[in-house]
Amino acid sequence: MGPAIIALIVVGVLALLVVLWAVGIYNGLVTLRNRFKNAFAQIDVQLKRRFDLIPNLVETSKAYMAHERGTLEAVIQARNSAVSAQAKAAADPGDAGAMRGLIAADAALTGGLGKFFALAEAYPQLKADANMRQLSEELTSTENKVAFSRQAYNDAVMAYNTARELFPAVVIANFANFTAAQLFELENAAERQAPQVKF
Amino acid sequence: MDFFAHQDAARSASRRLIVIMVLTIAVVVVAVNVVFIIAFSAGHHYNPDMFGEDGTGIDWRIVGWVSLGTVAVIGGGGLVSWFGLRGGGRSVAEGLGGRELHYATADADGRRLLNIVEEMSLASGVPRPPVFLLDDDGINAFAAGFRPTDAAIGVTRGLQKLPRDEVQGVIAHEYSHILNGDMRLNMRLIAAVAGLLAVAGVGRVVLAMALRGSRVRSSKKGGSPLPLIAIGAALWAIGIVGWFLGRWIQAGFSRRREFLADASAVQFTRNPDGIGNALARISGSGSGVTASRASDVAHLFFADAMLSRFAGMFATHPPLPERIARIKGLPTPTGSAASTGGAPAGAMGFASGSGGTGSTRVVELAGAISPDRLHLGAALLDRLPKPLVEAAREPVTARAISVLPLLHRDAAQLDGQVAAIHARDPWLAAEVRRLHPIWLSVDADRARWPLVQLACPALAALSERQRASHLRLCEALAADDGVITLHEFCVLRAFGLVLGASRPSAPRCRLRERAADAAIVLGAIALCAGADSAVQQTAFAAGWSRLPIPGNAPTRPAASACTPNALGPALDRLCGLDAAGMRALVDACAHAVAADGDIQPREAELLRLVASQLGVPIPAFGDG
Repeated sequence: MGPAIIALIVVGVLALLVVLWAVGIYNGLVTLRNRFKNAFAQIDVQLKRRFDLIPNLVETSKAYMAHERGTLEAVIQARNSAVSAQAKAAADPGDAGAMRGLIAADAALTGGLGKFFALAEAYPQLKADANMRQLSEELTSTENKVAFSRQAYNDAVMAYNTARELFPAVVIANFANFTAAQLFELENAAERQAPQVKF
Repeated sequence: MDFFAHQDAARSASRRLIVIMVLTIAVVVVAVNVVFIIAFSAGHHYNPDMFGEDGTGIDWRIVGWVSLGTVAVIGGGGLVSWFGLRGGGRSVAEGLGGRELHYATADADGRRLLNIVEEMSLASGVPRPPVFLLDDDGINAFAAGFRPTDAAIGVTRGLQKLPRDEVQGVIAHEYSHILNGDMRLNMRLIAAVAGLLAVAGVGRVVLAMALRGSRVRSSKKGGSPLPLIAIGAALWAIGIVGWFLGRWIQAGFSRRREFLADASAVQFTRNPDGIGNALARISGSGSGVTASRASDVAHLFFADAMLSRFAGMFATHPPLPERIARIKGLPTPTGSAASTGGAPAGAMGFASGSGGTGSTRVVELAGAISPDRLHLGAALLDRLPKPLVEAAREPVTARAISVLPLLHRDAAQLDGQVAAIHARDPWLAAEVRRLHPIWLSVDADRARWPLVQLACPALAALSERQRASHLRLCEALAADDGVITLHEFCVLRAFGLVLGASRPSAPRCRLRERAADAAIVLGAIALCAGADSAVQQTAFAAGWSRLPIPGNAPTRPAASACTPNALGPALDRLCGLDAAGMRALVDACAHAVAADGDIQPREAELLRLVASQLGVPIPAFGDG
């Protein structure tokens, strides 16, 4: 039994400890990944509510702003493409491409709604409609819930992305295909403003 | 056996586990050494110096290295697992790929499941644990965590679809694990077994490496491959030995607790058919869980989670026919009504104000559920105003619920507080304005605690940053008038557990060593008994007389010694009490509260706070 064998055993044990450590990092990444996916469910439910409100909103305003058919259709269209983008992102919140698609679709819808509310300013009867008031109140409330859930989701994504970029973890992350997750951020400062609803 | 006896049993099982682990590690180390020695003796013509100089044929240096290495691997595996579990039940559930169920996102089955969990939570007095759905069609469930306050429940989709009484039976079984202190033991088992199982996984990898390495080597220069293969084989042997011992320990510890949990489930629901039928269904359709890490945590589950069954010796759960037979053999449930003392009396809870007797029974009420209490839980849920309950269930709005008990009733002061909320989060301020009138319409003393329990999982789902900032807001609201009242203190402490004001881990202690802290707690309760000093003295003396502390009763601490500032640290230190000490302290508090035959809501609230801080769940029912 020469020193070579002893050295081999030491190397072997060290290798085992490295493997164990790697398993620990892997398990930690799994937990963090699942955590941000769970956090997305919160945004998801608020977005769904928002999308459900919009057809009612358009239906109610049709009676008052018949001349603005184009704007109303644009809102509905933006809403529909946001719904399908949402379904794609909800299927796998870890898919950064799908998430970017949802962010873009959501931004487009927000822009469309902004235009709609700017136009609605010119229709005092619409502004006085009880149904309309309630819908826009709910919409504002939902926007705020989306913003808050987005913050929770982004915090969870940051924790995951940071963990997977740190040195030893990054090796395991690349090896085991832990891809970076996409933050749910609004694209520019102008769109960061939720549509101003003043009724 | 009451709640405290079960806690004690779980703790002594933990101690046995440590002893057995030490023995097991010793066995594994010896086994590994034997394998090494045999391997090298067989190949000794390659290594003439293998035989030591003392004539025993053993090189003790090698034995030392091998032993050290084995211990390092087992310890490393256990530590890795332990670090993964530190986050409590939520981390375990997330590690298994669980999807958290919320009322807003759940389908009809999910909502029914959440209702069942909420009712059981209100009936037992623990905060409602978060519920996670595992994407498996097998019928199974688990509870994980260290304390009732950080527990999580996981269920498979297969379980969710069963009839209501069967789901209730299974959830009652899981609540028994939460209430009986099984979870902490289970978490230790996970780490212990992971240490032993780590050797198995790693042994395989190293044997593969050794074999490949030996092939490369022999083809290159024809050197001796034998020692390398011997090392690989030895490590593999460690794996086999460790794996068998690990499964055996896991099985031995968990099977007994399973029988206990089955029996508790029948006691809680008084319906042996629910859990019995669920078990019968499992024997028909299976309970397999496919999550890759499920084998580490197999013993957490309701029924055997691993598809590959081994000899009964290694099963983490008793055989199904035996469990079903035992459930059927339990004393007829209707007959047990007598032992619960004509159930309504036990179910009335202690805050009833219906005479002193209810209050002195708190110790018996702790940590047990009865069908009557389940009904009361459901009724309470029905009576609470819908908007409050709905707000409590959603993370975004649950913040408003946690703020409500801290608001002033005086309009001017209220405006100041809402302005303070508005400065941080205008939307939250609007939500608080919306809910505040509804809050004023309910009896705050009765509604406060159930709403805290319902809001807990939603608050826990906030991100760490959001929780910290919300806790700061709550603290600012409580302190806005310069004083933290007892009432505000109770609310802050209750939410502090969820919002992450980490509880310092108190050193283990006996009640005798914490007499001063016990006096502060009893003194605070006595102050709530009434303004009259004689009444306060009676309450304090009645409580103190129940404590098994030798010597004369101390003088009642002055009011200035029982402020929230003193009470908080005292409660923190008392968390280290053993089961007997906790039982005596909770009992003493209950007697102090009941001393004058008149239970003030403030007394009841403080009693409940003390119990919950000590980890003793007590339900909150104001009336029958």
